[in-house]
Amino acid sequence: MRHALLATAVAGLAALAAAVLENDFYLRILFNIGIYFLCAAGMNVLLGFAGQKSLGQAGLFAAGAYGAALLTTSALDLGPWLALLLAVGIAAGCGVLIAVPSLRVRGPSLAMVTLAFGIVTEKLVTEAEIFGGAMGIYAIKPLTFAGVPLEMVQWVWLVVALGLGLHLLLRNLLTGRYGRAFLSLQADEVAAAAVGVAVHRTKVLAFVIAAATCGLAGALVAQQNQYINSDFITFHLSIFILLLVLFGGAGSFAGPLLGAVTLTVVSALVARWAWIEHFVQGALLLFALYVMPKGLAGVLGGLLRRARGAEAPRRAGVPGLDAVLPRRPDAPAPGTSLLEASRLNKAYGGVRPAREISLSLEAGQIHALIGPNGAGKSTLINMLSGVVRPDSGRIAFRGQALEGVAPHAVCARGIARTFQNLRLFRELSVRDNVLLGQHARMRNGFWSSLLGLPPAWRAERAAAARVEEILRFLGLAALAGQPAGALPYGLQRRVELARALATEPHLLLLDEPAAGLNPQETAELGQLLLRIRAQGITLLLVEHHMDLVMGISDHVTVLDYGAVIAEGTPAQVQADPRVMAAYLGTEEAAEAPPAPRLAVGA
Amino acid sequence: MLEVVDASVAYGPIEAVSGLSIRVEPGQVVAIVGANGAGKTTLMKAIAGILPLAAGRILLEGRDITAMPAHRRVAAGLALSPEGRQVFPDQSVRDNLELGAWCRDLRPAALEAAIEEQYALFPRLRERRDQMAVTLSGGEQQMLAIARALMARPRVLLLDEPSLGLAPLVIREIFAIIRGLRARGITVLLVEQMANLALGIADHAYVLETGRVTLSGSGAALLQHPQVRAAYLGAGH
Amino acid sequence: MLATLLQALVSGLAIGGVYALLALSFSITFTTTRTLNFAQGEFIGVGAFLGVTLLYLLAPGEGGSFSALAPVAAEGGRYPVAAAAAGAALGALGLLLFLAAIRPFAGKPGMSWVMSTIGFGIILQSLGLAVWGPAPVNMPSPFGDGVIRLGGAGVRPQEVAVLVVAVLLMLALDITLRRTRLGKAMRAVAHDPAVAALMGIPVTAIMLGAFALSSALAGLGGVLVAPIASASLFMGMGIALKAFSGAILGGLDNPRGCIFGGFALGLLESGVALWQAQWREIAVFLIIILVLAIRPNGIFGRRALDKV
Repeated sequence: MRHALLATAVAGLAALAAAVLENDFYLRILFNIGIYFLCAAGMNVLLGFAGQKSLGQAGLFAAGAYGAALLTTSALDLGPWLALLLAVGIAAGCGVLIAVPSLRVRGPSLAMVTLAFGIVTEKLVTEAEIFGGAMGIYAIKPLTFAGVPLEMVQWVWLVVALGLGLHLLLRNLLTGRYGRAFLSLQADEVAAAAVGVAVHRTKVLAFVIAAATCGLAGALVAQQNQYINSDFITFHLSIFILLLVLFGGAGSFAGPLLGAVTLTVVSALVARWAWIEHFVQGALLLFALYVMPKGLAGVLGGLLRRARGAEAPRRAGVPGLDAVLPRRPDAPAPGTSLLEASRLNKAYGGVRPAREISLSLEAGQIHALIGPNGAGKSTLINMLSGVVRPDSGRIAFRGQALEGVAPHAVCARGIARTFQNLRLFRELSVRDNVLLGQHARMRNGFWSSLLGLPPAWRAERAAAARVEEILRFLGLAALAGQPAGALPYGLQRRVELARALATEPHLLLLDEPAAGLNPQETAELGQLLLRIRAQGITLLLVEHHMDLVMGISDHVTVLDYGAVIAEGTPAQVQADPRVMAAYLGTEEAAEAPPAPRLAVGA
Repeated sequence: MLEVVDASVAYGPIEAVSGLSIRVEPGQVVAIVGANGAGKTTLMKAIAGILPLAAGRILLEGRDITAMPAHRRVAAGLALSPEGRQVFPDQSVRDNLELGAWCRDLRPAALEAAIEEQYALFPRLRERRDQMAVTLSGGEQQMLAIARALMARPRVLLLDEPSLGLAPLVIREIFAIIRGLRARGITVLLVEQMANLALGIADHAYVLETGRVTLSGSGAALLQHPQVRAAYLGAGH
Repeated sequence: MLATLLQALVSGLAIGGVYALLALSFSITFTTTRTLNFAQGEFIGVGAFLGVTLLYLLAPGEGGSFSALAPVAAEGGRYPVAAAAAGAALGALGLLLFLAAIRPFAGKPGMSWVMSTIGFGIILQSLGLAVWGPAPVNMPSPFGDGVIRLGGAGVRPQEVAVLVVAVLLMLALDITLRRTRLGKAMRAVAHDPAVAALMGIPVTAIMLGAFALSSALAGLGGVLVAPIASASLFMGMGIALKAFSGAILGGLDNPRGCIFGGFALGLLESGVALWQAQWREIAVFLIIILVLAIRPNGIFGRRALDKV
């Protein structure tokens, strides 16, 4: 609430300033600040939250501007307000268009594709006749109020109101489920999918939001000028929009405003010489990258934090033994078959980390998977969680086929996992990490989150309560507010476990949960896993700490060269000579079984 | 010859090796055994210089090389055959060997002679000399990795998990080669998961658990030690 | 009809040669450092203007004015000297780029090097504008402006020269990469810098060299194209973008694939131009996006595996 009041006060001041100012030059600067704020606010969602670089926002600005221009000047002859609305829709549609490559292409290639989109649009509006080329399109209908075209001061009021509205809506969206989902994409797409975030859909949404706000800005500029030509649409505009966010502070709520105000004013000061304007733009870009990676907002925030300065706890509390993990209603009965994998195969070139692996998991048990390095244990976990697709074989989870199901959908069916090399969302707080585990269990949709409707609050509150309970179960409650990446390693492992539990799984896959833990921590982990089993959750763990495996498992499977070489109770497996040979390399035992040969010809 | 003193190595917040000391005397084969995740490979990377030490020192023939970058350590006399072999897949066997001798800056004739030396040691590589390394079998790739490290004429040869992912028969072949190296007086520091094999050829050995040395002694003595078995299969055994 | 086709083929091959050369320049830095120069376009433009400036300075008096150099200015070996000098100057600039914009950010999350190289390029371009102004300048070809008749098609000698030079350079680079000790070391660094260091290869020096070479190719590319198009500080962006498209078409990590991709793009472009000149760019980029949708790592690219 305080934030909303503050934002309204800032907007009110801007509106008041516009009313007092007589000078058209200053009014125009205010109008430009508003326009660039609109671009930056949407771009912040894409760059600052979802972590996607778009170097072609000028193309979306053009989509809005030319959309509004053509809709009001062509034979369609639409009214200006309707045209504005439709122009935003057109830009949003183009947003989908540039989002599509991002689903397949990564890294520098993606950056270059978005850059190409901007350049192609620039060419298109310069060369295609329908857009009027360098001549441009004249007599675009301006927005009207009671039939009268808006005056300059009214234009400023309009963009201020739109900016305030956009800011408040995006804040609703970004502080909740969707904001966390965007941040998870930026941090780690594999982990995001593993906790149930639909990666593709979420990424497209971020692109569309950025496109719609850029389109809105473009349409407003076209309607205010009543004129648009290809000079507006340049590579420098794309970079400027990116710079607004980077300089102001990507991922911060104040960033877009700080960026829009500073950079618009700086540009106005140096606009007289084109080359100096560009030089300043380039220099500011490098400056932001070198000196303030979190932008102006980061610098100011750092000053504030230093003034407060509090020491955060770094130790776990006592686990709440009475805490109850949230569960789905349809829990499988103990002793029934939960997962059946049969004859799974996977090959990478000459290496075959899985050959004819069959595995059957019983509900309510702790299953362990052991074997020497490179035996194919992680590959099996990856196949079960949908990250890697088996070349052949079947996986049935509660009777339903699982092969070819996307990771986030596997999570939705009730299989959660942790990762060998810890994939936490390091910048996010412990609480937000675990809340992301709840992502797929929450039912509040996009519009209700955007508008901040009661169903969205209720869903957020319920999820928060469940997360508190999980944190209590693991003894993490005192650490909830800290960034996950700042915790000691052993606690990070536990946070990842909490995040997996928050998806309310039937089956929990743990890939080396004790890696890097000291003996004390390993023993605590063992107790914890037993308590998780007592809550009715089935576990499958890959582990090298044999004390742990032999101490808590109900059933052990041994893999070597990608194949199952032994299974049974811990005692049976420990006594098996083949297991001894696999681990210790005993020479005489090495010849006993017809061991499959791994990519060794000749 | 090679001495590691109180070394600690950390990956971010995780200390994978802590306060560890080992010694390698000239002409010895020294083995470091331990289960997965005990910090063996981390230690090897630190000795080779591709991971920095958080604390401690590394001495080669009495000279402190702790701050020396990896590529200079090769010239100083340390060559590592890394875990997982890491041959350059898209280059021929011969070119892989040539790269191994980068630091010696040999003239063409001397280079050919040096390569010929390795072919004599590993006749299989001669047969495959023009093949891309990626087409070699796992065992051949391991031979190539060892030969490539030998091309630098190291004072100490570092071998990281030469048995990884190989079939038992091939593993035996590789270990026969290591025995051969010892017979030629080459000093070897060997990291190995297959404890029995490694201890069988080691003059001296260390057992690593969670980044610390828990046992050390002659290979033969450790081979009989019950704690070695426990380190792998759990104390309950 | 046949003559038109032939003409399109020749000009497609000529511009394709330039694209291929620059695609290779992207590949050289990408394979060794996993980064590349998003300001390559600005480097091309600056290279062209440096070339024009050198011709102007080398032919005092007889060469005409700076903005309209007489053909004689490019004669007498001045053009190759200007090309080599522009290449060398841009190569030195590449070292600066690596140290200022790549090294602080390479290997860190967030791909800040994309933005830092863009920033570097914007600064470079604005300085160029301050020195040379925004107007395009004609650069004479050492072979004159005449047209060779070739089976009915009119071919400009500079186009043939560009093709020949590009092919020779690429052959030399291909041999360097495959046969020489340096090339083998570059490919070793490309495979894995840490393992390359284990061989004793000085990895940072190799990376610096890669950027110098890549930037030198951009400068040279500018001097080669300028007589066909005319030198402009803005000419590079489109060329670099298409060269990059060629590179991702062939596979950024495969130098020969990049060469193929560059030629394919040049031919494609001149083919589309036969049909509808104004849709040239759009059609080309649509095809690229289509190819990427089917094969995200290019036609000859390796599949990148996310290690989980």
